[in-house]
Amino acid sequence: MRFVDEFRDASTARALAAKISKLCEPGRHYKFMEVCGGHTHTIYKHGLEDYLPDNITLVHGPGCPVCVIPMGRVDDAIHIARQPGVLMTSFGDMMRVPGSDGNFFDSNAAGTNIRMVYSPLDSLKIARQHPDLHVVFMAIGFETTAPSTAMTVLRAAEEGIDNFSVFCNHVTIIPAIKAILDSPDLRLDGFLGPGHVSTVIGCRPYEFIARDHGKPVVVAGFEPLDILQSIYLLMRQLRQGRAEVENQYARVVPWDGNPVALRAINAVMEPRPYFEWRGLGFISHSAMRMRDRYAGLDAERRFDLPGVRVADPKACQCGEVLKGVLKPWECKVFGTACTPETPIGTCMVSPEGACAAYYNFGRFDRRRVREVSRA
Amino acid sequence: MSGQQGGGRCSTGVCATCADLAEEATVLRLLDRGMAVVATGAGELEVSVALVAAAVGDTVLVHAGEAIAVVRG
Repeated sequence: MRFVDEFRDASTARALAAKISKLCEPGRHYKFMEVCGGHTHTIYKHGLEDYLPDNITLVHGPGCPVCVIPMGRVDDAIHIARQPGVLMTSFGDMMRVPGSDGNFFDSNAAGTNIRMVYSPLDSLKIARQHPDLHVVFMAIGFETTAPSTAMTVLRAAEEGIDNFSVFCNHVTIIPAIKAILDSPDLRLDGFLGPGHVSTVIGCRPYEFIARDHGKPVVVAGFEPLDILQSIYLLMRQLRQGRAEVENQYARVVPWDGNPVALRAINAVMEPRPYFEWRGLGFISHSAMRMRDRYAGLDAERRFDLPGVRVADPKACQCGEVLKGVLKPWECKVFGTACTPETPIGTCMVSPEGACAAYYNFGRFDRRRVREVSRA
Repeated sequence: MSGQQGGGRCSTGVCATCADLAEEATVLRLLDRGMAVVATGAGELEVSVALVAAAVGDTVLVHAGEAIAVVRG
């Protein structure tokens, strides 16, 4: 298959791993964060950690759109869905994210109508088909899904559809990376930049990481060889004493991103003063809300929201996992009370979540990780 | 739902219903109003190509029904 087989060749992977090992300085430990949950998924699906020397640790970042949605926003969404005549639509992986009183499936069992859709455009189609209902799209995601939401809002406005609105929960990746860089818990040597977010925002927004923090960034693709090559490029920069932004994923990511998509987002949305991230707390200018011009399509303005801040369950340590401070199996409830079937925390819900990736690919604890690695 | 199809876990990492997973797809036909029919691993799908300069035969990267990049190479 084009763009797949050539990026999964085991002998090339072993050769890259050998080159990475050669670049390691004896006695030094390297810690790289892969910002994007898609990378976390690839790393564990293909067992890439086992190719790497012991002194390279991969830390999993906050780039999983479902994982960072705080409980209060799930409660707000369920509140909207409970209003008479409302049909809510949502991406599939949002359905099992726990709110303080259950998830979307539980809410449906109690009488709401929350449907899974593939895209916001599908939600708009449902609105056209059901003029008697008000369709609310639960919009989540980083700059990868924001263009889709923005284009849907523009289309709805153009067609004058008034039984449709968006509950906007879009977040932006750069403020989250800044929050991590400012966190005293974590000392990182470099970043694997999120490949698909970068197709939209480009590579320039990461330049401050290299310039102000002296850490290399490599924007990486999602196949196993993409990730190994990106780690090699990070190691090469460190060895040569450089800190730059490099683009490993140039077959998809233009250096300047997608200006048309950025203009569409900017036409429809503006930054919020602050937004709560699960585990990371309130981060300023880290999320988007609808502009006044599209107030009629903004569910937050059409419905009176409780907007109550809900603390995460005490047992859940998603916050530490999202910041890369804890490995998933170090969480008290990982794999016991919290599993993909009955998640307590968001990191266990999405396949992009670090906990789900560890659980699904058999890395249950330190002993098991060593066994899997030897196999 | 995420990662679950027919009760089993999704093995590809690219489920149609996942929020933020991209799909590479080939443009088959361009339609009106920035829409196009694309071929994905799972069949044909109508998506928006309004934000990219895609021609028939191009591979595009689709996120949530919106093509956000043309794959080169």
